[in-house]
Amino acid sequence: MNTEVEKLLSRAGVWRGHRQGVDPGTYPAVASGYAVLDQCLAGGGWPRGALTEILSDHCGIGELALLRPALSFLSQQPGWILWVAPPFLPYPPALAAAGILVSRVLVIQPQKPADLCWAMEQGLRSGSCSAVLGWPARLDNRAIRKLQLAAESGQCPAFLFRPQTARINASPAALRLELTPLAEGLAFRILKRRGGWPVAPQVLDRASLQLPGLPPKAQPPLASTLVTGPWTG
Amino acid sequence: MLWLYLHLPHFSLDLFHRGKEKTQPGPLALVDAAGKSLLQVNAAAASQGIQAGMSATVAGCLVPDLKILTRRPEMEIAGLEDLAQWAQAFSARISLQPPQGLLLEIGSMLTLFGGLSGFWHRIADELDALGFTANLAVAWTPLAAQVLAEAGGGPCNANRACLQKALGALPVEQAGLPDEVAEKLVGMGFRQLEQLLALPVAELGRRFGQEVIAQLGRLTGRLSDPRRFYVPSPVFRREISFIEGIEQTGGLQFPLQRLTGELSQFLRQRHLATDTLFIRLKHYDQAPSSMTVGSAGLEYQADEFLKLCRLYLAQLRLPAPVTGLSLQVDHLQPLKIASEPLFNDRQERVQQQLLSRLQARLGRDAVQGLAVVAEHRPEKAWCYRQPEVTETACQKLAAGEAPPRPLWLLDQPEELTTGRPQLVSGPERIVSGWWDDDPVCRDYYLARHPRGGLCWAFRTQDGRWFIHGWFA
Repeated sequence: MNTEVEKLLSRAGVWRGHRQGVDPGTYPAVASGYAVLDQCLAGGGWPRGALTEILSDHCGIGELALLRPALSFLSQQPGWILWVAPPFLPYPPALAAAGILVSRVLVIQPQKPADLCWAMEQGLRSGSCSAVLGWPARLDNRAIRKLQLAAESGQCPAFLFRPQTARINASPAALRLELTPLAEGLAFRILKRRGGWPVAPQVLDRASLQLPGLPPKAQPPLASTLVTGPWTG
Repeated sequence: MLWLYLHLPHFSLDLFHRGKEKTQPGPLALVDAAGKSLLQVNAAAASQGIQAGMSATVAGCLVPDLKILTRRPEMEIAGLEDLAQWAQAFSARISLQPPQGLLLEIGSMLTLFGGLSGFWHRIADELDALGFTANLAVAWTPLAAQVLAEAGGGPCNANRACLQKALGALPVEQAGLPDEVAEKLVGMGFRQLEQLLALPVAELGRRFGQEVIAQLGRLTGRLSDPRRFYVPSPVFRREISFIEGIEQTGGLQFPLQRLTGELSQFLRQRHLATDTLFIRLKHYDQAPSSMTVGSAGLEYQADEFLKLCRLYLAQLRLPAPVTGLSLQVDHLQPLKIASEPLFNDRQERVQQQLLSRLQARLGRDAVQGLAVVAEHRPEKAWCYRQPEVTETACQKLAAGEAPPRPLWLLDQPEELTTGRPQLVSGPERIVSGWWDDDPVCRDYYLARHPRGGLCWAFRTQDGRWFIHGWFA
């Protein structure tokens, strides 16, 4: 084929509808740690330099567990991990157990909603943060676009947690996921991603999310140490 | 050592007039605190017949448009110190002679300025540009220079013979002797100083006392005359006054830019840095308002200071138009040059700057870091702390089989009204805190919440169930 056309087609802006034929270097990403998720994402992980929206109705269904391996990896590098207006306290002993360095965590509780966007934008643009997580109460598309541009300029992964009702509005974020809790784990549906169509819901089970509470795997008993009954008397 | 004395005959009047435009001032006169007699008059007033020592009412009658200003000693001292700072460009050894004089040791500086006449003209021109009238005199002793300058100025000549002649030609009243001694001498027939200096010292001492011969000894150089030199105080203080009041904070941008630029230059020259600025805004009829601008780490660059000041100013509401803006920095610390590689240092500085900016706009309480506390009670096993930029972060990873802890912790445990939830695993019994009046006796379980998600629930001793966290 003509080399000019080849070059054009291999650029990141052009996507051929049938598969992700783009080499991973064009979409810098942080591996999410879950193979099922990584396969669906362009670049093989959470996009650096772009905004990711995570839509879920309740907190505590496993949305942080989804981010935990990536956050643990990112906290090893110098830079703040900004938590802007989290709904509850990120519990330091649990953060430490998850491998996230507590000294790099910065919790921001702004009084006004405009300050929330401002704080996230400052964090993303400065280049001194390795990740920015935000829980906005209400955001319009203009603010989301500003955050997307700020993430691009600072090359920092940004995560916005919004309610599921935001699903019906279009958003300039690069990646949109919808999470639903299930008895056996977490179901995620990719509403929008780079270089691909939306993906049908897939399930991450509790074991792979490393959520506690599973009965420990039954170890086969060693015959020599096992003493069995019945005992009488 | 060659000494230069600057005598400023109407220093206070010049200080008042300096803030105005560069036209010739009208007749001005200075009165003392009582307001009765004139202390200083400027050239325009003197040309119309007003002299120092006249009564203020008489002077007002003579010249109707005479402006009378009250003497402010603190302004004089501050002005003299500012002038001493300016004079540091000409000499390293400066001595303040309040209320109206400045003494410089210039023997070591003449080669730099190309001889005495070059030095003399340069100082005279710059003083003129600053708006001060001054009489200059050089001599080989400080007192002689002072006496010559106060008499109206000395010759621009470092030749000892010439200076001796000029000194000798001075009238006895202007030699700096006590008034009654000068009167006696005049009554005895002494007209010029050289007649006095020709007499034997012992005789003079017997007649007039030790002070007089000490004074004459210092004048001629027979006795040493050590002076205390000016040491600039390690405080930065600059002020800008405005002619019309500024009503909006936007109008304060340019003065702030100038002040922060001067601060940055001051810090760079002395290799210092600071983390607190005091900004004071003067209003016309009200008490001045002030603002403290703090940064998370030591800073010395002008644009960082300006950014922080802008953030603080944006939240300030001006109660009245601003007539003056002053910037003061008291806490100065030496600037440490980090010996780390350049990349690390830059990353740390960028992190610190982000922290300063966030704290500036949102307040220090809204931006917090976290820390783990060794404590069994879950709500006390953590604390907020002042965030710090640390280059190496070491954290002991929880060893092996630590009990599970939720990533979200609620501020207050929420009671479950529906009773016992669907339990998944547990229990973990925590009994602690009997020693500080906050005893805790709970059985913690992992439970599945009806709306989905895994929560950390506990049961108290009286059988009530609470949720304390979420395993997100």
